[in-house]
Amino acid sequence: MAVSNENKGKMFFGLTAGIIYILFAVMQILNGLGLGLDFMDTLMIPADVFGGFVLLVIGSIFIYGFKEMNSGIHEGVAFVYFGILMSLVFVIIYLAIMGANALSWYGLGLEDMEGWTPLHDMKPGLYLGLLSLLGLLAWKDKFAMKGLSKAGI
Amino acid sequence: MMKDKMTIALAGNPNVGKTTIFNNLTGTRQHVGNWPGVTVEKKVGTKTYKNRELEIVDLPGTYSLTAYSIDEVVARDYIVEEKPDVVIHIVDATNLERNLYLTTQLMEHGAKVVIALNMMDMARERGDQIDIDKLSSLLEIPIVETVGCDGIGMDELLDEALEEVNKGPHHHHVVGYGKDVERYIGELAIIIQKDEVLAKKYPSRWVAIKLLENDEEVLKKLKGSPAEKEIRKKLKAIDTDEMEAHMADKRYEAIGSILPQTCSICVPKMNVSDMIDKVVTNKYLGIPIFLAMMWGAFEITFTFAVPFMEIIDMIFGGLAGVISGMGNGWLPSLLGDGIIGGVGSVLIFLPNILILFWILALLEDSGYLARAAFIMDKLMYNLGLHGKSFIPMLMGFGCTVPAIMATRSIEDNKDRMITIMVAPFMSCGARLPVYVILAGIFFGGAAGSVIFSLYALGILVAILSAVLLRKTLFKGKPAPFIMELPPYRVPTLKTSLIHMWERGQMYLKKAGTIIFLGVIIIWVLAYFPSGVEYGSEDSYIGMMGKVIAPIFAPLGFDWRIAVALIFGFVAKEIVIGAMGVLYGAGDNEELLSDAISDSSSSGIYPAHALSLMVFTLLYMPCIAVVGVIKKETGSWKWTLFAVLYSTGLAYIAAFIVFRIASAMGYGG
Repeated sequence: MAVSNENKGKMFFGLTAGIIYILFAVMQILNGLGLGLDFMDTLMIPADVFGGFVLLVIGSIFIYGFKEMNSGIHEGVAFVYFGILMSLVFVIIYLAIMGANALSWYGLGLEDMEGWTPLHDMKPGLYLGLLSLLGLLAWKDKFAMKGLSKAGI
Repeated sequence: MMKDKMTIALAGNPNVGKTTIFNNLTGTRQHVGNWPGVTVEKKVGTKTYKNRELEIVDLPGTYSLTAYSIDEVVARDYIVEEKPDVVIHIVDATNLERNLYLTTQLMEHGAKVVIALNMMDMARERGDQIDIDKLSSLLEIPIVETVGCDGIGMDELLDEALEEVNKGPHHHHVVGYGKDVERYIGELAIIIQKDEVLAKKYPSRWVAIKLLENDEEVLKKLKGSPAEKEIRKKLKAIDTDEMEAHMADKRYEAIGSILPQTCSICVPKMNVSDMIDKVVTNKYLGIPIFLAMMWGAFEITFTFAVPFMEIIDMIFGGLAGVISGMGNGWLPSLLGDGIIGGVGSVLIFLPNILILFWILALLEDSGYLARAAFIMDKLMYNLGLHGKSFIPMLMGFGCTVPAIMATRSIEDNKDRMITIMVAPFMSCGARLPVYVILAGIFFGGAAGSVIFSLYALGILVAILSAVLLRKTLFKGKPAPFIMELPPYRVPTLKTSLIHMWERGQMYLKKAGTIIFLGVIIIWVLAYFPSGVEYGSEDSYIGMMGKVIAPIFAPLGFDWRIAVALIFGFVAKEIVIGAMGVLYGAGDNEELLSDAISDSSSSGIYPAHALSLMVFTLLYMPCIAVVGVIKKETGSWKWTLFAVLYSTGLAYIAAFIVFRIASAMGYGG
């Protein structure tokens, strides 16, 4: 089945984002297992297996979407949208943690946080979110959650 | 002869343009209120058309006439009880398969139906070719093409509705359910007809089908019927467990046989809910996505709460300062060491608890938790647990008491008993303070991951216990799982905060009652006999600790931890409060951290901390949970079993963890 031009863009996005996320996931997991390399510090990759697992899941969602669309299954686009959404949820989580750490150091002056700067909390889960942000802006009408009602009490 | 006044009900799935058509038909002549007894909005409009006074009722959106949600109950009750003259069923032309499911049920009930095939412009735009005449002929229902947003087809719709009302007795078009089920339907229908009142009010075939589907609302209608006894006897002899799923399959089969004949090209449409479901229920990605989301929830619960915990700590520190200004004696000690120290050490963790509850509320409100149950069902079934067990187990992350009460929704007694026995292994909010403080001290930046691993361990132990119980005490297979997934909803801040508060206030209430009492008892035991150092080995609590310490020694615990764990039976939150007393730190979290982190004097190393966290996770549930287990099982034998089984398991697991960690060099 032929792939429409609109879906070609999403396919390319899914493939690119998927590869990047999985690459960083592997590095973060390796670092977490004590198998890190020097250049990983430059990329601000923490030693965090679980955080790496999250990147791996997001990357797999993107790749799965690409695979589906490449097989002519239009619904594969759902995986690309969800990958974008999930990576941005984690950006919000990491930003909230960064905010709390800022409050702990700049606001309360906690000893444990001495010398903390926002760079301490910078990690792939945060800066790779920029890629997803581009996707969100490109297809923002798809994220309007049309048709969903608000949760009631 | 046509009536001068007639009632038209508008029915249909959510988001098919029902309200737009209602507005087109009634204009400004609308009245908005509530359906009796519920908070579901009721919209009624009037219209004068061709000298007829029409009352048009906009029913809540519903996918079927099987009454599960309040919306469905309202919609079905109106059609079944109020019997409108005609039902206009609004069908989304771009999603025929799902929409026609409701049509099959309306047909089954025998209501006079006219279909408004709405959103036809969109269907055409994407290339769908629907043969409306053929569809109408196969369904034996008049169909009118409409485009609600442009007001197209409204007069034709009303014309068809008026004509339908004027038709004679309606032919009940039925779906065939297969030889065996049809026999049951026939036998039940004959019995139902013996009750003249019931048979006059409802079509007997429809009642028989609903009874076979175990429809509780219809079962209630039998109460007092002369046929009730015979019907119940008949139902008892029929295995109705999988009947509802079987009937749903048959209805979709019927739709599946009609669609290819009437829609030569139909592009399936995905809405937002379908898109999300396609991903989160994917057989490969569903479980990893769930685990990633849960990890994110615990990461934010642990880290984001830190400054807020610090602020509470400062407040209690200030209070303790005021008390210490009152001098020595039993009263300042009771207030400072006992009440402020004990209750304060529990309240410090309120931010963690509230954040965790808020995230669980967001996930629940969005509809995701029901999907989590769905994706876990296959796994759970293979492990001997019922799919419905997953919801109580998830609730166990908040508090075990409501989790055990939620097992009431599990019909099979064996499934229910297994769930009750394993639910306490899901780590409740009360255990979180122990993890937060110990993981924070000994595992620093990896604390979030350690806490996540403890929650994962709880799930693993629950699953393994379920397998064991299924193979020994509760032999047999779990009952099949049928659950309707609620539609996704956008969680709102207000609603999620209300839900968070409903659960969070239980924690606060507990701090003001049972924990308050517990800390006073601890204070008495730590302060007396008069003149001894508070919480020392010479106090009653110290003497008690010395007696029980040998039991806990293989796990790496000294007498202080042993005493704290014993008091944890009152409420798990007390463990940290008791440790505060016994390590001379009171409510001051920093002092307690300092005291514990000084391994040479506290005797606590990472191996001890891990062992203590594992023991706290698994050992006997608190007194409130024991009470609810007794109430729900109705048996002291099973209650005692739950206490002994969990404590024995905790002992073994903590012993293994301590030995392994010590062997790895983490034992000091």
